[in-house]
Amino acid sequence: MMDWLQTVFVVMIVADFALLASSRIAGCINILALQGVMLSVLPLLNHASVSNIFFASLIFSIKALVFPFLLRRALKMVNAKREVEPLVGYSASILIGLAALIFSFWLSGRMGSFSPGMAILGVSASVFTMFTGLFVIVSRVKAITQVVGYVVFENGIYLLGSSLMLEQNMLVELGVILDLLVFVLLSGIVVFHINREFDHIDTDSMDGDGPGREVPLR
Amino acid sequence: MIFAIVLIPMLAGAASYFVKGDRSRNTILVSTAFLHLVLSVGSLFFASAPALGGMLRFDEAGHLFLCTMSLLFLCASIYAASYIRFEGAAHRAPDDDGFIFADSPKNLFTACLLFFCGAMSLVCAAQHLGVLWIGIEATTFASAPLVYYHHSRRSLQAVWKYVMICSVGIGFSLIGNLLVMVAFSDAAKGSLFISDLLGSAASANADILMAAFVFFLVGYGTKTGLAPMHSWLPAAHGESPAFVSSLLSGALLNCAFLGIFRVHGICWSAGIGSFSGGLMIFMGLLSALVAAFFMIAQRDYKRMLAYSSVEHMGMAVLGAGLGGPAIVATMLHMINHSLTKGMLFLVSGNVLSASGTRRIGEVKGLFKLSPASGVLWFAGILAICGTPPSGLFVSEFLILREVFSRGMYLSGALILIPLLLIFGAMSRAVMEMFFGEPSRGGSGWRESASTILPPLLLLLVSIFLGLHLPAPLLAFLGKIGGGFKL
Repeated sequence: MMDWLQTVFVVMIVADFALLASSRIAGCINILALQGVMLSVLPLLNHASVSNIFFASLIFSIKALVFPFLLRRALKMVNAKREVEPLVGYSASILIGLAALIFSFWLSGRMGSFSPGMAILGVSASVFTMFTGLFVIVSRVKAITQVVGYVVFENGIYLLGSSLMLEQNMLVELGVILDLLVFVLLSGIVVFHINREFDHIDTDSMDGDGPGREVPLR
Repeated sequence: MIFAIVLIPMLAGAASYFVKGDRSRNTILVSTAFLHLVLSVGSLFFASAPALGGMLRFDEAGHLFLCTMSLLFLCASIYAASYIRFEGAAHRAPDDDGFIFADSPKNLFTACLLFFCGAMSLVCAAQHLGVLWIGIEATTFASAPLVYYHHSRRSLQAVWKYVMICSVGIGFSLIGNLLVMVAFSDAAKGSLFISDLLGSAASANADILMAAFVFFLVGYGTKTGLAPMHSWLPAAHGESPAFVSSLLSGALLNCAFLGIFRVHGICWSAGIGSFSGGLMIFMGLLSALVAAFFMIAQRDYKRMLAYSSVEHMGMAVLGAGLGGPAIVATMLHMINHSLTKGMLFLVSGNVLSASGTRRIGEVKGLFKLSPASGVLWFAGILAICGTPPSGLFVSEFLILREVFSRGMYLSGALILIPLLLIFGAMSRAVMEMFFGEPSRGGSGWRESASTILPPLLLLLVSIFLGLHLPAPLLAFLGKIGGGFKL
């Protein structure tokens, strides 16, 4: 039983690295679907009660089927180039990812001394997944890759909730699902509008000024 | 009662989505806002039963924010009604970039406005950290279409920033919720009821609770507009229509602040109040300083007001971080800021309609363009800087007195310098806008009762609170608990 759990955590970590190295948006979406499948297995590994089977199928249908489908459709709809266009290069991303992974292991080791019931590997995998998501958000230019990054970030939160072994996990599951639904709905609409207004989905060149700067009025 | 306060706006919003015609939708909007205010103030006098097994109940802090929000919502919706009518008649002008833009469908807009009000009421009533989180999530959901009312490129960029940054913030506060559950897994059996958490705080795991507080401060702090997570705020406040900015600044920031305040209260009763308070004081000082520097160089008056919100939120977080007697001053500050900033954003809509530009340097002769708005703008700017007759003077003075009486002279200096810089920056901007001859006058916009009276009412309430603090209000503020009983 435990081995399957460990496998899930390791696959999550490997998928994060694959995401950091991936140069095609379609590839990123496939990785997202893989993570969705992994996360949907988690409730069943705890114990296969009726409510857990329900949650597993809910998470599977949302994270492994609906989101990848919506993202692929968005990708097809926009005439964007299919490359990721990172601000930080792929090999640099991998190196930063390695550093973050070491940090997550250190952090979860420290946290483990506070609450004995939790899975150390699971916590480090979730911290690393959250980090990967945030890193993809800030280091990739296109709106659609930023959406991918956000979903990965939420995957990390979900994984954290599962690996902390809380008794009432309902809130986490519902919370993550609600959060994702809201975000994907909103971002889907915005990506659609960005596409219509700018003919591309590049948040960096929405104005001529580059990211993060105050837009001068004229 | 509580159900009514939360659900009536949402149901009215759903109804107005299907109603045809601006006039009938505006009637629904304004009458719902009025009913909401009556119910919110009325429930002060009748103890209402907790709903949903105690998840929803109005305590003093929540009720205070609810009433302020409701008053502001009424004023903003009266303003909105006339704005929607004006826009319907005479829009399709190019925006500042020279792009023609269309507006959102108006039925969707009114529906979101009402749903936003309901979501904020939910936040004020929440006595459960999970429900609080859901409420704050719902406010993002409801307000994103409001920010994107004008379908221009700039507002698209603003709404993308808003959704992206605030969603990550909400994610962080979800992690905070998780960690609270871990910290209280023995003490409160994983319950997230605030009363349970306050009651069992002494036996919680302090280290994990500290980590949880950091996540909450970053998460809800993003939505409160604390520096350095504030970058969505000037864009969203700048690009949305005047009354939406007014609600975002005067009501939404309060709701997010309430989230930090609740968790801070739990930390306080767990005995790590000096840790959480210290972090809040640091964030407050940083926000005030960052806001001051951005305001000096600011050439857009709506963004200038947005940065002023960052500064005031910093001040409030600082006051709450101090704890003890400063809590009363902080709450007073939040009300006064809501009233004054809400009023200023409404007037900024008048200025924009009259002059046709958001650039400070291009508005000339404001008194001639629109005399009443000019007077309100002048008085409002003075009030927001904390000049004596306004309520903000009293609350800022009380917070500063608390800072100095604890011997925190460095912090005191660090908050006074930004206040001075901001006063300078704002008064220079106002002077620029008043002198000269109006250049672009032909926007066809005229002052009317519905665009002047709502901000005037808000300003008068704020000045009244500055001149005279009613004893019942002080007694009410003194009862604010949330773990701060000394």
